Amino acid sequence: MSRRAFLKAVAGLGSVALLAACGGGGAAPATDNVANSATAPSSASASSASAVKGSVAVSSSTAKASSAAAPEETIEYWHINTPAFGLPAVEELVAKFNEKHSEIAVTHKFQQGFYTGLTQNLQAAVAAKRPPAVAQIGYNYVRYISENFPVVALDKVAGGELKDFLQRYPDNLVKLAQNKDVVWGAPYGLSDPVTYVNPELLQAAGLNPEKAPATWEEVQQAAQVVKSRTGKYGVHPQLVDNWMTQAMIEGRGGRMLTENGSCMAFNSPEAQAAIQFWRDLIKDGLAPQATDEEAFPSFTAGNIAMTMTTPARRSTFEKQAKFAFKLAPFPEFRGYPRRLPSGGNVLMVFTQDPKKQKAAWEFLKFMTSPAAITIWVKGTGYVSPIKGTEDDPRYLGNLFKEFPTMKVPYDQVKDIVPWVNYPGPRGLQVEQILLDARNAALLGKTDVKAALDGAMAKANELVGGCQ
Amino acid sequence: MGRWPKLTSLWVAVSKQDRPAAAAAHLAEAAPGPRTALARHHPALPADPAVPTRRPAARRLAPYFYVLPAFVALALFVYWPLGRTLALSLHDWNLVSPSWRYVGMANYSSLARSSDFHAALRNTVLYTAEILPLAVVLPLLLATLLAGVAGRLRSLNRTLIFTPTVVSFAVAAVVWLWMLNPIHGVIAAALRALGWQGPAWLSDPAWVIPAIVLITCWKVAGYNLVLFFAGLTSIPTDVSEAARVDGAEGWALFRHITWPLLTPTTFFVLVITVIVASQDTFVPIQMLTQGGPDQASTNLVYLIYQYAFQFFDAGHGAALAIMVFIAFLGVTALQQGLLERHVHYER
Repeated sequence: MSRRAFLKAVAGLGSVALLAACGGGGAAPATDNVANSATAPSSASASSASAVKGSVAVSSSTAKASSAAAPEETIEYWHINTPAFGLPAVEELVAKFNEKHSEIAVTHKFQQGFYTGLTQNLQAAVAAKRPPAVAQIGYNYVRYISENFPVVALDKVAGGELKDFLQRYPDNLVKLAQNKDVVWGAPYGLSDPVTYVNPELLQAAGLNPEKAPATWEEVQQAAQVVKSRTGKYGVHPQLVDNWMTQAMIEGRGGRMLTENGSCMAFNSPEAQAAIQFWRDLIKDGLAPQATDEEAFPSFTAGNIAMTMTTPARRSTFEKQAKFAFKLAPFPEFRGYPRRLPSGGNVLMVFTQDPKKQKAAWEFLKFMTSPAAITIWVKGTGYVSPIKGTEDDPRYLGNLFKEFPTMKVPYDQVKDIVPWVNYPGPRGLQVEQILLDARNAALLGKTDVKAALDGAMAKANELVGGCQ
Repeated sequence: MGRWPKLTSLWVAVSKQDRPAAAAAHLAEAAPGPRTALARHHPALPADPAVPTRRPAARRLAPYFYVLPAFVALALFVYWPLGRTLALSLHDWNLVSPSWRYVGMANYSSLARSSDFHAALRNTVLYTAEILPLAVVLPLLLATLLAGVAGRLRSLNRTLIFTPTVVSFAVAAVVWLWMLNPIHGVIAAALRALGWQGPAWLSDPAWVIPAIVLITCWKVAGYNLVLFFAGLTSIPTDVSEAARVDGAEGWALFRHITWPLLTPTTFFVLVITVIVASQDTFVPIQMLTQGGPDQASTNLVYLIYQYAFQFFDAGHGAALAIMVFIAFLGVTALQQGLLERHVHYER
């Protein structure tokens, strides 16, 4: 935890204690709120300390104190937002909802370990027959959850309102929450991969610091120049999962799955070319042989000229970097359309109680309304998943006037495709198989074709045979 | 050379005498070997004439009542989960679905064929082989050397070496992540200053296990050192004094006095280190490499975690856990059988 986060937590704890002492009256004192341009945490509210560890429930009862009527329905909302990543926004949104809907009380619960951790805890809760009403489900779990968990399809939750509701999303984003033509939740957190650029390093190499390379071929050339003129690394695409694997393979004309989604397709010549390209970056010393945990601090330390990852990393980078980095579009392979896997989460409903489902539906509608999305986007660095917020001065319009590069991930929204989920009950293991094969190929341990062929055979066998 | 048989017999003679109680307790604490424990804590109760005679049934049942609290705790938290794990290993279950699907030995057979299991098994052996010298031999040597250092310096040294043990492993992993960074870490910088290009510790399949071993040993060696210290302190000075009078110095003193009297401690340290080697490496694996690159740093414990909580495949996870349980049972039994013969417990 950074010192600032720690101080914030301490301040939060202090103000929570204060609030408790005052019997919940009065507004929370604003804690140290460093308005860094990226995620611009708008409202560091009192209990930012609450999510320091484990799964912590925070009843937002302070907001309810004024309304006399007791809520008829209490529902739980599970999220992965840490104090440094969106928790203040979650608290503000839940408080606002509770204020608006006196008949419903939403309690939010932080889940440690991101989407994997949340899914693990969700399993325990489902087994205990006490699932949360609403939970953030990572896009990489949509298929698995919808096929294995007792999640309630959105049309069942929405009654007759679904069609109307989905109007708020661009068509390609509705697909993010779909499996087999059923919409399983409301797309909520959204990001697409971007390029972070160190303009100082580009300048030191004699390159134009204002113009980031637009294609992978240009990235390679620029990286070569950076290496030969400064001795530093040119580029590091995120390695930790298959988010970037998919962006590279599909951006080079390949596909992860066959058209019907039931078989693997990631060993096509196009896919091989994409991974080969990536491998050459490492082999030629243009990209470091390093994990993300090593490479990202090296980027902010000024040792790597460009790195491709999520826009959500922006506030962390801003705290670490001593230079003013820039955001640039994710590169294309020359002659191929860009296809960017979605990052973020879908809000899904798990409660089987019809009354609670109704309350959850109200909550979903509120959370994906323009005003709520504005708070959410400002507090997290996510992209707005709904139409009509980015140009409207009531919502995000002014933000972009002030920070034009924040618009980069928005301009790419049209290129967003679902983050591929692998079929069947063993789908999650396929992720690992592909990741291992890709890493073996990137390190030169195995020939690219052999690595992808091997992974594909293994994966197809695992999902139940596919010739 | 002629002196040594005499020394040995002296040691045997001395060791048969009663020790000062404090030293003995110390040793027993450091090395709760089964025989020591039994000999000390169960001095044949029923035969003792001082114990008043009770009704035979009550007397027969009494021991069971004594062990009952411990047994209940063990049964609840160890044996019951173990039994459930065994049952689960014969089923297919995703941790959510209401029913377990019986699959017989299929989980075991598919694991036995899978390459990630082979990699994890191989790595577990590698980890253990690399951790033992660093976490057992090194602390043993350090403890022996430090025992010769006087007063303040000794406790300062001991404190310094023990400090990593109390540092949170997660924090330690992050500190090492920073030091091992191949691009701008201090170790890479130091190697570069010497004209070497350091390896990409955590993303080079050849270096990732040594790197995690280094982190783990840095963390656990201090604890073992303190155990050895306790063992060394409990060696009665009269024995070593007598040996010195007989002319034993340095290596001879270690070989014939210190080492034999330290064997219970060493055996204990060896057994726990083999077992914790695969568990203690979990945190750095999880935090730094997630088993990668390409399973190069995974081990059996991490693989159990992956199957159960990443792939949500509880059946395979349970089967793996049972296999690991049996393997470690075997290794411990082997240690017991082969090595314990060389252990000198004091009577």
